[in-house]
Amino acid sequence: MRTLAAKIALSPTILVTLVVFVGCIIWTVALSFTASASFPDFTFVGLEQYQSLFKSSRWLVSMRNMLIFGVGFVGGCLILGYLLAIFVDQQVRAEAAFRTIFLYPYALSYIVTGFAWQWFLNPQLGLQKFVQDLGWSDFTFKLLIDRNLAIYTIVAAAIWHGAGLVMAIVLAGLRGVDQDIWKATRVEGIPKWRTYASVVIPMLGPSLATCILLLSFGVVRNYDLVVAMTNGGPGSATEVPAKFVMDYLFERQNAGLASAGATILILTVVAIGAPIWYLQNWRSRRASALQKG
Amino acid sequence: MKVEARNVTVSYGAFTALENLNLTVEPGQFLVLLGPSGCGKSTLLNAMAGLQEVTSGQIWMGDKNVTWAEPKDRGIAMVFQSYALYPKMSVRENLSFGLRVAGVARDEIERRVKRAAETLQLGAMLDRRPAELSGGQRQRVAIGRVLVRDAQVFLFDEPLSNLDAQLRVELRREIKRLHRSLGATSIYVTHDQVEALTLADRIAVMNKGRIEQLGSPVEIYERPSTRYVAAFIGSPAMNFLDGVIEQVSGKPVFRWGNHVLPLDRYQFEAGAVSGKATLGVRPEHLVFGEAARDQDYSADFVVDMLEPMGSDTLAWCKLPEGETLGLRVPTEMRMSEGDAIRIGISAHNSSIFDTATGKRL
Amino acid sequence: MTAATIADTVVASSDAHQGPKPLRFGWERMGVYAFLIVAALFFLLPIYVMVATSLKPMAEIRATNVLMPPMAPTIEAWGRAWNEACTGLNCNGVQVGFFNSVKIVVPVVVLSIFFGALNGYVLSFWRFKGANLVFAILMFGAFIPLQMVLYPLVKVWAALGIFGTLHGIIAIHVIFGLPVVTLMYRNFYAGLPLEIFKAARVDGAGFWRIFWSVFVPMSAPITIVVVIWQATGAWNDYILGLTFGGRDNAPMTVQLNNIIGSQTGEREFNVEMAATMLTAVVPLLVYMVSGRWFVRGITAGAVKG
Repeated sequence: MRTLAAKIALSPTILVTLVVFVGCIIWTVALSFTASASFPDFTFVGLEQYQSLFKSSRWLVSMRNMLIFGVGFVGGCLILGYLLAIFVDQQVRAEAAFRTIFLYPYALSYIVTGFAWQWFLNPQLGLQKFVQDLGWSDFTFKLLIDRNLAIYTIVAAAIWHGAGLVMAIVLAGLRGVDQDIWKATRVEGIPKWRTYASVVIPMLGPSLATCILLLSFGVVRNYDLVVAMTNGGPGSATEVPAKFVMDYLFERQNAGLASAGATILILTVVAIGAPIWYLQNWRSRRASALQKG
Repeated sequence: MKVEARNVTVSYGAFTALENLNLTVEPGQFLVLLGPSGCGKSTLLNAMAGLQEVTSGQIWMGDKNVTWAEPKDRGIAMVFQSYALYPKMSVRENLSFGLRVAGVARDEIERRVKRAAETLQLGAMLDRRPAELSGGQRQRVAIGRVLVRDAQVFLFDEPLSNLDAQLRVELRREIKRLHRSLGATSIYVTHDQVEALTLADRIAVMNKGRIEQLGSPVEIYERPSTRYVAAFIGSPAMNFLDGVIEQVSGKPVFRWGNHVLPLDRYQFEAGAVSGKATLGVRPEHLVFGEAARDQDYSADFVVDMLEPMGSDTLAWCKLPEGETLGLRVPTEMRMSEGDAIRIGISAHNSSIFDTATGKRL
Repeated sequence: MTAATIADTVVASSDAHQGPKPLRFGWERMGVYAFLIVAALFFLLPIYVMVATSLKPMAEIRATNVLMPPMAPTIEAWGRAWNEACTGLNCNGVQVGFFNSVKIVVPVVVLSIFFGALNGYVLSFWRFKGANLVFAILMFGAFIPLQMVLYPLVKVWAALGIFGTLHGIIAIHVIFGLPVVTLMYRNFYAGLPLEIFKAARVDGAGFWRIFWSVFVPMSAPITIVVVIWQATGAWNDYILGLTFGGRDNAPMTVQLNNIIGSQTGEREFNVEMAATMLTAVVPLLVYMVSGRWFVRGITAGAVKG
């Protein structure tokens, strides 16, 4: 009886959790096994939708792009973010100003980011014209319209947006390192860069895991940025799975196919998240067990 | 190697941590910087190490002025309160990291690590990580890191403060043993006076950025040069009585209330004086019972409160007028509160301080 | 070679050295600043270009290049973006989207705070069977791609009659924000001394009393973080607004995309850029004003891993 009020208070959340986070997921997965297109059709078709999916060149391009985007975005954000954090950590003047500048893109929406970059790289009036005006009249910078390179532009814009996040997390980690460790390395004569590389950064394992986790989910969800920058173009060169699913759900009205794509997406999420979560759990259990021994 | 601080001042803006401090540590000496938090002892140690910039003054090591030298170029090694071990490296890697970075030959590193591990019984732990070690083991590794460096000056910044009492005693002995066998100049910071008295060849008692007294443990204990030092050293603490020094028939006496202690047998620092003074007597120097009557002064006290401390008991005894003295008695005497007891004070093992300046008279 | 001897080179003729070492502006320092300044330029360039373009008349845009500052800055394009920009046939400017976003974000923030605090309170102090399971599923929900649940959710919302309404989209935002907000409040409350709760129980206070009188007043720090996080997140969202906003409640991001996407013929880049900047103004303002709190939000919500 004592917990009745608590149960009542939590009930809206329980309802929502069950309906949205459990029920709808099951619904979508179930849909992926049916022949639903623009009208619900609950004929069970086994893995037919999945087969169509993987025969679709558009989907295959999406998956390839997601991989390229994933590696480029996560890798780029980590490298740039770590570098920014380390350099900002060097007791520079105007540190607050630098931090503000590096992090502000994260406050912008992906739509705004996409349009800013799209304009910046506009073939007629953007960066290309600037360089041409400077004298290199043959300079072409058609990253956004080159089928092969367009996805890399999106990666660049995403890094611009997200590196600040990595910097904020890593910087917080750096500032949490015991100052005595820095003193010890100074006394031992270990150069600063070596201290970062061999001592401090290895200590930031949890921060790294957090960054990878957050960035990876950004990869799977990537939709807004693509819509704003290229809308999947040129052609379908910058198509991504999230956009594929959205298009087939609402524009092309093929719920079954889209649901199959969405299911693949969530499997990807689980595939990435589960090992990292498991690794963190295992590490902390191991450390506490050994301490007792 | 000799270590010197010459006219060292360290200040941050308006706050001065060290003021015109001079200190010389002879080669091979074990010097302890003793004092409460905020007295400047850690600041001085860090200044000697090169981790803290001096606002003015010089630091010399041997015959070289190292005031502007980086810590790594001063020939020092340091042990920190929080151990400062590299968490993601094994014990072996922790010990050898500095040598590896300096490019020392692999077999030389092996040799040194082995030697340090033997000296400190770390052999079984060489492949473990700090998180897997106990506090005492970690501190040994920290000391081990010092040993492999072959430094000429060892600096210790409250290394035992994070350990529990028993471990502290153990490691204290190890450090003393090490000093005896290696003989390196050592400078050790602590707030624990027992550590200071056990380990030091000389103690520098510090207060608010200055050294109040520099001397051997015996000197500091028996002839504290200021009231501050007298109160800080000795457990249980010294008793203090405020009064005046007067001349009676040409001889100096100490008077408080209507009690008088003749000071014929007191060794004044610089001739007898008169004026407001404070008498200091350690609990163990108070004589009680019949023997008290032979002392320079004695009176009847009443036991007010007892603090048993094992083999000895601290008996707080009151005079009718209210002054209280702490007296050390063997517990087996089974005293009780309310007992009458005669207590005697002798001038020759007391201390007298000027009430205003705190200086020993 | 001993590792720890006094380097002879360092102390050549240094008997006179005293006091603090004089600062020498070495290469290392310069390199640090150089890197930071180049990085800062990288981060500032796109927004500089956007702002500069929005302040130029079209003729100047065509004549010069993106990096030149405006010769005679004018906010004419901003005015037109606000009042006259066209989404398809509607030419009422981005103010429509702006006010829609406000109408969405404010209730979302308020409701998120309430439910997040309540959930955090329940999960921290009241143990009952299934509570932890609910929490675990909720956390899982934080990571799912939205596409996973959009279609069924649209159907449910339609069945409830709130699809395309303001209430509908507010509810959606609150729901999808629940996991992170609950986590933030739960961690915050779990970090407070349990004795506070116990003392209140001993004093005889009941569930709601303890919540309103004891914990809500203490929640200011985390509430600020939640306000920043949810306000920015809801304002910047695109996909939920697109799916559930409908024609009448399209938030600013959706309207922006429609404006720029539907420009036919001569594109008026200065108006487009002004419209984009207007969309960015609110979150940027929140970011500038909140300073440290913004970062705290990232580390509070993010570093749970």
